[in-house]
Amino acid sequence: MTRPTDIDAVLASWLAQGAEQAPERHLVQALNRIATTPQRRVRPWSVQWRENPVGLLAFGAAVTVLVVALGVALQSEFVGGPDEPPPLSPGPLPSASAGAAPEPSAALQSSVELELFINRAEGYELLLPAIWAPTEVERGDSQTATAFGSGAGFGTRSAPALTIIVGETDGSITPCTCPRTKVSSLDDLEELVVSTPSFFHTGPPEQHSELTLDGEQARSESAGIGNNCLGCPDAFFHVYAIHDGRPFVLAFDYWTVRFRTISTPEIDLNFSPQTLDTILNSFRFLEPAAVEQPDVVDGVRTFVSSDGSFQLELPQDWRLDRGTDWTALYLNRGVTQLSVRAGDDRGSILTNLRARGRNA
Amino acid sequence: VDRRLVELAQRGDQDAFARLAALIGDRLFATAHRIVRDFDAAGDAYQSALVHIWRELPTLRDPERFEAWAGRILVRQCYSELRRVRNLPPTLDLLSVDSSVADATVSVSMRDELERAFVRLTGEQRAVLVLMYYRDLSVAEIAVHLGISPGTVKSRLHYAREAMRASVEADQRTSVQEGRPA
Repeated sequence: MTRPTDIDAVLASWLAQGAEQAPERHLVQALNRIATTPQRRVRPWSVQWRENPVGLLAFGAAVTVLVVALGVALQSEFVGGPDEPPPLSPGPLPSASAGAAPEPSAALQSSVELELFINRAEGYELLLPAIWAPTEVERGDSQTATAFGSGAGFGTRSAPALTIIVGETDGSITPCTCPRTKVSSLDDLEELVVSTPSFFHTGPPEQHSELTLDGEQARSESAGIGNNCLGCPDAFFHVYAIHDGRPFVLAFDYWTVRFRTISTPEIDLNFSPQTLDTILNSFRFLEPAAVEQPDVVDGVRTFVSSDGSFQLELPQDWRLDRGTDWTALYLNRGVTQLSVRAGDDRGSILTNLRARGRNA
Repeated sequence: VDRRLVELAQRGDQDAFARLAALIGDRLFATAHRIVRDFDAAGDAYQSALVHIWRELPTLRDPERFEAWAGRILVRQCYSELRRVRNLPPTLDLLSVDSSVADATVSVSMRDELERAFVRLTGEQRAVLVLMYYRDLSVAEIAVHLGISPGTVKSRLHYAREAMRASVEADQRTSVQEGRPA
């Protein structure tokens, strides 16, 4: 004897399993193809007449009325009738021309709140969107970088919105997916970060410009749709400089810069060019300072929360990172192993990406 | 989907189209993967669909209906992929199951039965099942999505559900006979 089957539940459960995210390469390849694919040109009247003969009659009637009206107007002009009021100014033209970046929609009204991020260990500070929580990521060869706005909803899907990579005083750096290399000039650095993989060769050329970062000479480069990898997966806009022999690379995410949007699960925020300028203008080089390391005893480190409200022991290879709104975040090899957050004495706490409030 | 982005893309703005593709791309790919049951074939269908969507976009009259319209193009590309794959030597390529999301509702043996039953369905029947049970669309929405009548949706759905139900019940009978939990 078998039980009756809830086929609806079975099918829903079974079909829930499978891929949820399109591989980036398919998207990029498709975009490369559309770069050379012309769109179908439409003649609206021909489509409508085929599909709607009544529309053809209406169109004919409208043309007749227009011709009559035009005739009357010309007649009064030549006859020299009374002065007509000046014509109304033409209606607003479509405000966006093809090729222009889309203007923020109604859903993008909120501006981005910036707050100061200081990295004393690597020696820099800058203003950044408060919702871009920093995390430390491995770059290989024991070098680390700081990623901001990682996780779904930021950047190009799961890519960080911004990654800052700082090299050593001898000029060695591991930017993007490149191997560790020594650089001594901006030219060296430019060659390193502009290393387009062979499968992204069909896009528009990269654009370079000179700028200053904290008063020092720097350069930037950006690329088009099909050419956005540049050795940094998903990065679109690089700013790089060398300060006291140490190379600095700021790799901004493609979608954030290109489409001026910070997407979050709750709202899309407007990331305007002015916001980008504010971020870059706020950048300051600092003297790298020794950061107090947690005590290590028998392979176990004691971590103390930034506000001193608690401490705990964790494996020594775990790294400590401080988010902007949580007390402590512990990482292991770039993957969050444990996140500890503490609220304030009013019971207000931030959970995941939800706004601060009494939600716990 | 932002209407303004659709209108920009209709006028040939590739940046706007790229953003649209990123917005709906995951849903399109996930749907294709479930219909064609093969990662590479789903990727091919997805890519072809994006190119078709770009080319035909100026013909879309109502930008508000962009996503349903794009979904219809994707499903047609899936049908093409299935026809192409059908001409290849038959294989049974089971989707890998992520144990973290697998639940007790569907046992391993039942999954196999479901997979076998599903690949015997036509592309049209697969599409209505996926749109109903994965995309959670109503019969009316599926009709709009596929450009067919609600009656046709119901008919395809009925046949597909019964075929899938038969496979599940066959698995349950086997389980009882072999004394393993259904």
